[in-house]
Amino acid sequence: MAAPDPTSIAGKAFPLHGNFDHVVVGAGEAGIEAARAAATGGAKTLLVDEHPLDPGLFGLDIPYLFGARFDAAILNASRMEERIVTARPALMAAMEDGVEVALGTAAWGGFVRGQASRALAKPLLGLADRDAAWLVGFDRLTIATGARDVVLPFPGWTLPGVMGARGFDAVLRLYGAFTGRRIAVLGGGALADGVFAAAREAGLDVVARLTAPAPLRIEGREEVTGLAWQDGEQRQTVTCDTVVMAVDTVPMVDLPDLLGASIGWDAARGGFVPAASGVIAMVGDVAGTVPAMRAAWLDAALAEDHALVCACEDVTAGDLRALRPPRYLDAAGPQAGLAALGPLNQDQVKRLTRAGMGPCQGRRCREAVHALLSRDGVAPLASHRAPLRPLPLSVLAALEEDPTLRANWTGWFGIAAQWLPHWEPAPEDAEYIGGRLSGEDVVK
Amino acid sequence: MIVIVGGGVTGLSTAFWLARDGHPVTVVEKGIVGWEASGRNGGGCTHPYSPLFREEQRLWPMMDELLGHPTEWRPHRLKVALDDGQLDRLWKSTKLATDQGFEAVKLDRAEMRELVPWVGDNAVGGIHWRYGGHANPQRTSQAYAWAVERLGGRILQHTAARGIRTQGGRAVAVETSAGEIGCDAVVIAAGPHTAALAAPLGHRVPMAPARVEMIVTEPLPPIVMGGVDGNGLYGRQTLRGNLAYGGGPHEWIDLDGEATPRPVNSPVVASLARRLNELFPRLGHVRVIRSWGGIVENTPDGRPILDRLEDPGNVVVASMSSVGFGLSPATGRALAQLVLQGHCDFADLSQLKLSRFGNLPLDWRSRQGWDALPV
Repeated sequence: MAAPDPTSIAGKAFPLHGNFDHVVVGAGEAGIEAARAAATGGAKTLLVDEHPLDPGLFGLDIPYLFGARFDAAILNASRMEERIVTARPALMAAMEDGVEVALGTAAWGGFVRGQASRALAKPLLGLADRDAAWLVGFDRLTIATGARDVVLPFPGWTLPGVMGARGFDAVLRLYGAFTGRRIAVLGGGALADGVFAAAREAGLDVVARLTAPAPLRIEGREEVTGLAWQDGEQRQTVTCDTVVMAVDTVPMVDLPDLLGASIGWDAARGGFVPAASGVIAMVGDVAGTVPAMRAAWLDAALAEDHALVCACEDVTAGDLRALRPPRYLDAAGPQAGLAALGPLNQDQVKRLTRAGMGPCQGRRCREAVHALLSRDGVAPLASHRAPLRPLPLSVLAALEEDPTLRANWTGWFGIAAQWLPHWEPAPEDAEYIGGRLSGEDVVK
Repeated sequence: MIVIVGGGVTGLSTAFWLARDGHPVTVVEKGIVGWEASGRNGGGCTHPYSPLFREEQRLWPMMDELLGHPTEWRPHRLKVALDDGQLDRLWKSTKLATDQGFEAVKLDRAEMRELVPWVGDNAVGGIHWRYGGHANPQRTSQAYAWAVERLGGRILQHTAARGIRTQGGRAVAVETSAGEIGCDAVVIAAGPHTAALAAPLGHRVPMAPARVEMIVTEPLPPIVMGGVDGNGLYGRQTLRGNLAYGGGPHEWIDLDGEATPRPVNSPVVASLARRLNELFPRLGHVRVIRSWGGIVENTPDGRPILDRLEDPGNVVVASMSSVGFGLSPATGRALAQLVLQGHCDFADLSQLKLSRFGNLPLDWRSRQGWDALPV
């Protein structure tokens, strides 16, 4: 029995910056309540929330569709933190209950033991602020990340001024940084009611509200200047600077998926919803939302082949149907289009068309692509991968690393004979030249 | 009918070359073609230690045309060294290619920076390999599959091979989750599952599965030669502009029946980011948007097994020992020859036979320190 392969993950530690009985991700109402209950019960509890966001994420529409309708105040982290505490007074009570609260802290990774991940001593959560990433250990985890916006790819949706209901709510009420005046709202349900009420309360003009799906176009060149839609035989237009898509939200299942939670399709609860399992609980909107008319709205938006579905990678509904390779390849897809694939899988289609592969990590097109692929049955959930928020190399690089891991780093496996001529017998004793080892060479 | 078990690049390429020669082929794939390690890897096409290297280099420039779909193949590699130790190692692996007549050029830091503007003052220089290259793994895997179908071959996805029925020293059928498929020959190219499929035939194919991982950044403006790596990382800038890099600790695992475990990531993704930031210190602001995992298998010496068995004599066993993507055009052609004529006429595969492990102790994984950790 030899010592474990030094170039493998065996025996490598992942230094922790804290170890908690209970971690809660998401400091909305449900998350704060869960954290307070845990702390009151005597658990060492950490409550993290990604707001105030790294300003770069606003531009990437992460986690909500912000539509660039915010002012420079969002750049000031400490002022934004004050605003968030003001907007959520229960945070103060949580701190008084003994909850450790970390604002401006995103959960980008979750690592638990499993069939292909056996080296972890305990479950870990990857966290990051604007400067650095770190790991914490947890015994119990409550995911309260809520829901994010469903984007409807109607013409003009990428113009500054097009927001989602959650993006609008965050910019208006959490950050107090909303810069629009005249608003059109899409949606006929409770979500749109909420947008309507919040806008009125803030003294904004709500100039139109479309309660049912219709062919529509968001107008403007540099930014939103109006909304036009077909109302029976009549074409209607309004002048506005903001269009809020408030048809539906979708549970933010990225962290549950990363942690291996069982996630099933339930159209009545917002789409893919996760099940609690073992030490991981879901509370609030992440556990399921209310039914909305998402499918009908998406059908209307996706009807035309030129609908731009994935803005990051410039993929239209027609490109998806034809399974066309990205434009830089200037090539046709297979003759049969999507039918060339057999049962449709969003990850496979993503890799071939690049829809959902861009810097917004598919947040703006995930539901539209899924709807397009689910005509003959619900396509499986497209996977989520770490980092769940796009983190700069320098931020991830700041994560504390076990010196043993670094000292034993190899480019690929560290099997010396693999890198020497395969037309000669494998030597018993050879030098590894397959990649650079840091520090001492451990593989000979 | 030639049945190929495994719809990864090795099996698909074999099917392609056979179908192109007019032979009836069926590929049996338990999931989606190219879905495991074949579709998620560094995309490197530069393997001078392989007897298939020359054929790899000859074929890649033709693959788009042969397959009828773009593979995103681009020629040449740039290797950046951050210290003299790294440079020394790079020259050692370079010598394998230059000894075979391929050309490599030394670059100083300024010359490297002309080609790779992200390189910093910490680089000592590097090497321009005027050979090798890189391609898009998923696009290539899919291109093989569509080419096979266009040539009249059959690809059965979501169909698991359960066994191989023999009669009189020959394989006569492959048993699958969708019924039996009669066959004249079989190729087992099922990655880490190859061992389990060969065992009932009386052959021990020693291999250990492992999980490996990579990271991907947001796209950057494409540089002139995207196949650049170093600092213990393998990878490339994709044609779209993303940086895709891997390396570092792998995790030895065990399989759980016929399923391939979910290839999760670990906190090693942060170490990958650290090394990439060291390699390209000007890119600290560039965002990592994704990571991948993949399950590969290694043989005890890390080298392929490409062998036609003696009994049953119409079965070919293929494992590329964790390095299969780039060589796949050549591997498939070699395997097609093993199926049809019993030997490869363009490469010396004599050292890649299964028999080299004939005296391997049963507990070889433990002896090499390759045991999976307990779950």
